[in-house]
Amino acid sequence: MAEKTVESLSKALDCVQQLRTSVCDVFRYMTEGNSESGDDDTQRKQYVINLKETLNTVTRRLHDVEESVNKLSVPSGAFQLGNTGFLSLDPTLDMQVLYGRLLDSYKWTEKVRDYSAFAVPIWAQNGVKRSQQTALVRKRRMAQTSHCQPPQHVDAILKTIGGTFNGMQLSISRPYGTNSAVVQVDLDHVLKAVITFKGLLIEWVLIRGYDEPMLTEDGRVDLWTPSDYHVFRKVSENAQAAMVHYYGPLYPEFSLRSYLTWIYSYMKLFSEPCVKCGSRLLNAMPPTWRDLKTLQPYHEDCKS
Amino acid sequence: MCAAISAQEKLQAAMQHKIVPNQEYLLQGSVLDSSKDVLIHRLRGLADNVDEQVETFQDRERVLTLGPVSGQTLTLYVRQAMDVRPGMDQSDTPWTMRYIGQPELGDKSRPTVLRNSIDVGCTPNVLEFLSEMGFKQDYEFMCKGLMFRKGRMKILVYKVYKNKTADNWEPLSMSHVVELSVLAPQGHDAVAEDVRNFAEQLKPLVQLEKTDYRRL
Amino acid sequence: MIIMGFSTLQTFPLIEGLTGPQTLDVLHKRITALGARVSGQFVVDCETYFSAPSLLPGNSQRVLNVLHNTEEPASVFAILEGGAKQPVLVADTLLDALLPKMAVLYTSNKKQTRIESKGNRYEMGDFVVKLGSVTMSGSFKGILVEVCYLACVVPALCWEMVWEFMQSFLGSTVPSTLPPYIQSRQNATFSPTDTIQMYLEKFNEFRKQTVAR
Repeated sequence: MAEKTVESLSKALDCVQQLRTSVCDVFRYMTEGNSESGDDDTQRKQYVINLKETLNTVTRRLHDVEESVNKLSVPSGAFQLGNTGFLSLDPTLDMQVLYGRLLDSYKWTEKVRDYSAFAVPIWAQNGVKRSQQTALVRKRRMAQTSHCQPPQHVDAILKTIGGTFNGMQLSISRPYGTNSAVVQVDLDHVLKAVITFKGLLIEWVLIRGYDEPMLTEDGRVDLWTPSDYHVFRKVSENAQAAMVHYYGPLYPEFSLRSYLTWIYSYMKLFSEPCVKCGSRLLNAMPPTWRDLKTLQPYHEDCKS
Repeated sequence: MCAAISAQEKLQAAMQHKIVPNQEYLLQGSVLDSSKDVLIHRLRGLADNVDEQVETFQDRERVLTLGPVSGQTLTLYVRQAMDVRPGMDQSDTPWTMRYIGQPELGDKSRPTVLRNSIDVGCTPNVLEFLSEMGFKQDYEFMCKGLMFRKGRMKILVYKVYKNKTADNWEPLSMSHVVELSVLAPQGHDAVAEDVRNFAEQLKPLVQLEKTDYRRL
Repeated sequence: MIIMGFSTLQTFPLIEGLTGPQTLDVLHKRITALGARVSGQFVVDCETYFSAPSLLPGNSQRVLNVLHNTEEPASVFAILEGGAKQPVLVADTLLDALLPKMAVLYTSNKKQTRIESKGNRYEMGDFVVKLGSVTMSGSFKGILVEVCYLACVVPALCWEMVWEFMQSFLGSTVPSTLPPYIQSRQNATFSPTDTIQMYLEKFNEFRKQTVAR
């Protein structure tokens, strides 16, 4: 008995799917039209004939759906959740809707449980988390120290990471206190960036062109003036988006290295074409976006 | 949207309206090294620009000539600032090219020397450029001293050094040259009066007068 | 120190059957269709002076070219040709006041005086395009197109991108290799004196054209 119900249910679902396909076909045919060539009159007649055919398929499928639905039996009785079924017998007006709502919320929570069971293995594939709490164990949270590292440690890490990139120069200064290092990045005649740190965490990034001044009038490093050039204003915005993406207080060295690798991929800002459209310019701009995982160049409008 | 006016037309218009400062009103004198300090004290009291420290300058000047062609020669003075401020490097210091015309003769009642002077700022390769053009260096000297300003007037107290051999600078005399000058466009003769009045205030210490260059 | 980005200069041949101003009109329509907007006018002009014969030993002659560019309004460029080197002097505008003093020593030839390129200046993003019509003593000589990319200062890094941009409105007249002047300097920082030297080269070509005719 149960298997028959399941079979007829699946047949009915198949019929519904076919109906939907044929309706889609009708609309597609109406928009795309007849691709055969020929003079106008015959074309129009052919178009009308084909359209009628598709509409006939739709009516047939609808008929199938109605048949299979009629074969299905109505589910027996009301759905009961054990003893809570007796709630429905309460004659008080206020309480009468209670049972219906109970059933709805039960169904909803069951669905949530099912979906989250599917989602957990997919999300668990990303090992780098921002927060620290594991689902079950509730130990005391490890104190996060990446925002208050001693300056020599920060300098040493920056030097090691900076040394691995050929063509990128880092120069560190501390005009705003010992915890916040200001690093000026010089990328081989292409661009200059100024990154402000708090310990080992990146707080602010600004990217400017190679010929723009990095110092204000009184000799301090200029952190705020945006670039004069459209392309570098766009790259600055993207750099700030990437800064949020690569933010990982639990693994500061790893996130810093990934971020600097991302910036290093801008070395060929003006010479690499966009991977999606193949050309170098779109709206007079070079590909200003670098994919956060693959580091490939895309135009602002080409990144999907 | 106005049409672009070429630079030459702009310069001609400026000269016509007499706003290009190309006349120099000048008075010169000298003071012995031993009395220089008294003079500087007085100037510090009179001048505008002394806050904490007096402005010093050190310039190396080369004199180049071109010609003679049909009896005419052209002399240019190329000046290079030698005192390097912190933060600047030597290749960024400004060079100027100066043309000084003959002093205007005739008006004995004018209190100062009046001569045409054009100062052009340029890139450091000016020496190479001028020697390619055919200019030859006559001589060079170095001036080291102090600068004061009063209104539009510039007061210089400096010592002249000469090099017999390369980079071996020796003072030329035992005194400092004192110069009072104003750069103004044509026709602003009232400036000469101001220069003379200021010179009066320095009278017992240094005698500033208009030098007759023909008599040198 | 402000560097102007990278510029490249090219003559544009007249379109078949159209006069100079009509060709400029066609280019204007093409470039405004791409999205550029007119941001003013520009003038680059050149005056030439020749040294007096008795000035230099061996009767060699030097040619002094004095150029102005509205892109650098406070500067005057002087380029000396004829000798072993070709130094470029950049000075402020009073240099023009100095030139009449040299009138006997360096004279201007009455036949070939002023040549200039004058026209509209267009801006599109970080690109600046100048379409100039070249005239000498009032007669039209040709069309010079200057394309400048402000954000990059090394020619080798962005040449292909600039070439793509130029092709989009100039068509196939754009050569795919760097102009010969830039080829030897493609990895060095570009400066406005390089632009001016390219203009001088083109002006000299235009001057030679009239002599040939």
